[in-house]
Amino acid sequence: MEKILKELIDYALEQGADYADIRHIELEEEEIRTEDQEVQSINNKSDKGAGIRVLVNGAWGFAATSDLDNLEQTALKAIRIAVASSKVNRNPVDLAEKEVMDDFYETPIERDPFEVPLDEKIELLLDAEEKMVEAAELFQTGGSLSFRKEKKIYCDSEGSYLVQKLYESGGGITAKAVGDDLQVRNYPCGFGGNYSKAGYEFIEELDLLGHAEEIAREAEALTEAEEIPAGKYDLVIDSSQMTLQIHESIGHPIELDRVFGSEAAFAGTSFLETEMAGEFQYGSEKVNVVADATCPGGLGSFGYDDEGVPAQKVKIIEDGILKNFLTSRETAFELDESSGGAALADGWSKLPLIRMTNINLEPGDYEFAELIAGIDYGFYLKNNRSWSIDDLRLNFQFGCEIAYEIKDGELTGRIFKNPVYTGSTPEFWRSCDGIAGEEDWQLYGVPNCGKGEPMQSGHVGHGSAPARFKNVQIGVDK
Amino acid sequence: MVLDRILSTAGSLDMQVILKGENQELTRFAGSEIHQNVASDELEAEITLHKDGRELKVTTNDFDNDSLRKLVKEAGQRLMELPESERVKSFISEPADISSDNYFKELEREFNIENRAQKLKAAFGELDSDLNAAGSLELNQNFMALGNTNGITRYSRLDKVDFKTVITEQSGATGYAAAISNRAEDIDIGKEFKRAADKARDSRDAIEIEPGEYDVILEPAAVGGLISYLSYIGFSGRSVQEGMSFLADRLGEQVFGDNITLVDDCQDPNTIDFPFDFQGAKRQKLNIIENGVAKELAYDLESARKAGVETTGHSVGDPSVGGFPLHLVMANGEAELGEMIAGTEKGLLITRFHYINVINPRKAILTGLTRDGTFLIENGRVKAPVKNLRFTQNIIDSLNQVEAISSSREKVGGFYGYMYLPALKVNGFNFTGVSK
Repeated sequence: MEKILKELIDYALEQGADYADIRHIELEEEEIRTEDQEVQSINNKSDKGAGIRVLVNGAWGFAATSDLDNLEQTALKAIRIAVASSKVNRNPVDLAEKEVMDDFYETPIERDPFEVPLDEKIELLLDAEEKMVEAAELFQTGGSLSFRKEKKIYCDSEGSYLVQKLYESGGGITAKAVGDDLQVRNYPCGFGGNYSKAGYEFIEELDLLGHAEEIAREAEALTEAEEIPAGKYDLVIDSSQMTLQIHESIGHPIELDRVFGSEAAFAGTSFLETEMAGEFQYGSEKVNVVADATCPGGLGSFGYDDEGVPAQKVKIIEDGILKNFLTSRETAFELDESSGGAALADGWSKLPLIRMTNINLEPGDYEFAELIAGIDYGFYLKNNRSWSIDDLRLNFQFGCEIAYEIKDGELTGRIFKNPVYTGSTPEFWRSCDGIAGEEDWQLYGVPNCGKGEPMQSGHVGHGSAPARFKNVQIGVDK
Repeated sequence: MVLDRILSTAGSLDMQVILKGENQELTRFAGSEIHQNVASDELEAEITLHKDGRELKVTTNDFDNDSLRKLVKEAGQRLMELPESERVKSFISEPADISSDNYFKELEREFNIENRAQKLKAAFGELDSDLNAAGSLELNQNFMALGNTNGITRYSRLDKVDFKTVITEQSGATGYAAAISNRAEDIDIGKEFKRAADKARDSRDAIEIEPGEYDVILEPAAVGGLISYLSYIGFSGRSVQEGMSFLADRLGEQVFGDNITLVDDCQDPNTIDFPFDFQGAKRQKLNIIENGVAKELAYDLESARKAGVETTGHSVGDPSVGGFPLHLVMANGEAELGEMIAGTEKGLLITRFHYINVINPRKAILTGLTRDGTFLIENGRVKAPVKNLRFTQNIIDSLNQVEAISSSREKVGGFYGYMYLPALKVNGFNFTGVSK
């Protein structure tokens, strides 16, 4: 394969490309879903193809094909596209320098998920469903597991040749109960569960069986619970919801292509500007955020990004101050910096875009009980249920599955349903007055981060501990 | 034929094969330059195997004979590892053939790589220097063929051009316009640029207004956002069975105002011509809402069987979705947009919504934000642009508060395919926040 790809790069240069890279990807996926204690679907996918990106006269062209006997024609198409673009554009693309690399990277795993027998996976989900059904009166139960193995070869005209073998595992369970309205509890988090760059050991560590009864009972109890009262309250937000809070109100605004307007017509831009780096008070001094593609188990971890730039840990927010953005080679050049290694594509058929890696809120120095103890009356919110944020990434609104009442510094045991909170990004992060420590810090994987046209689905991670926020608006769905 | 080659590997198993091909070319622009310009050519087969109540699906894009035989053999072995089930085979047997071909060579010629770039260059050249354009221009050609071991065959070939733009004025004010069609003459990039540019200029110096209840005039793109999400949470038989739908226990009831009629109709020339679903079933016309009364839901074979009805031909190939309407058409009214504005004492004119999501599916409470052209109307006239607002609104209530419906309709992109929708004047729409 190395010879074929290097010859193809040479062919692209001969045909007029000033720069070329190619990604050849072989992908295997498995998804198992159960519902109401029966197998709902078993899907396996194997897929391979190649995407070729070229620069001609400072303009990009990209073409991809699943017909691997047709790579030269695909390279010519990429060049034809770049030539057409170059006749429109006034500002040629430049790329930040990078080191030429020849390397192999593999996700560390203990148990290959594709070697685990199908019946073991199904039995796990059906056993978890049985525990939920036995624990409470439910309308519906379900479970899912999904696995992914990707062999990615990257080769470019600067001389880099990189082979990566990346594994992902994910899963979760769901309990639904119906009263006046539908109440849903998921474990470990909503929308298909949690995902990690890991092997089957990640599924075993999730302990789905150990959490089945709790979410079943809570789903049932929520149907009898009162609506959360509207007002401004102090909140402790669990890592399962912090994931989406970080994702939408930090992860997306720091994408430098978005700052430059590349997504203006689709997902929007950013309230941030490049001049704000080093100056802007994003959050309170408690808030420290990194983009860490080296984080073990993070769904956004890898060896090299899709421009052949090594995985890095980049400071994004330090003591509340914005420090850096997520960058690609093209956008980093504009800042006279080297790339932060955040250019990633959704498979062989898509162009690399700036994507989140693992955008992690670093742990603080509070005990979880201390966070709760600092609230006279407020709520502890868990698990995302809905999300929405404006096209500048300022006004957000999130729904959660459950709110636990906090009174006089203690969790009372009372729960409320349909919690929704809303705010504005910098104001919200500046109201953060405590973050729990390392022992409560958890990583969550988001496997469906949408961006770009054609739409690409990014696999990104977010680590955080529960955090406390002051005076947040609750309850707007009236 | 690839389809026949795959079916010939079935042996003693029951098999359905869906062969999907897509040639997608998309030119993206920002800052009035092309920054992403891509093409992809994909072909894949989804092979569903069934034996004695057990079922699984494998997907591949390797069509070598030996690879296919190996794939099906291994999948057959995995199939027998599944627990025994009373699941009924979801393969249909009639009619024997359905096919449609709506592929227009003219569209391919008119919107090829060079022409897309040239059309955009010309449009950028027409823009005043205080404006810049972002957006995308896509030519999409695709086909789907389906066959199963009961002997049916299906074939559909479709193409479309999808164009959208956001024009930004130097103060940051934005305006949006879009067009989608499989007819070249429907896509006038210069016209859409002008529409978006006018909106951007009109959006300068936006004022901030207090959240609260306002009468709103929703342009078709804004209506499309709400209808897409209503469809997602409520118009399928499965969403009712899951307890998620706002139509659970309400079929046959007056759920919306009697001026609301919504059908799903693949025969309507303003939607895509895709006459069968992902199980090969013939797509039926659905009267989802007739004069405000909830009448019919979209089913695939599984959800139909559970409900004791026939499939309506709305499978999208995912049992967790069940049926999904791809051809939504809302009945028009008699009003003109200008008349709606003139008849509004105080309200808002809304171009489109951004990042809609579901707060409560059973109550059809949605949230989202206005975007790219939101204007305050006072005393029958557009008075000023306003800063974007967040709505949190029960859409059942809204569709009971529709005061006027436009006579003209537009094609609006949805989750799949596109819809054909009018503008609506809706009273008492609830805004809960301001973007700042």
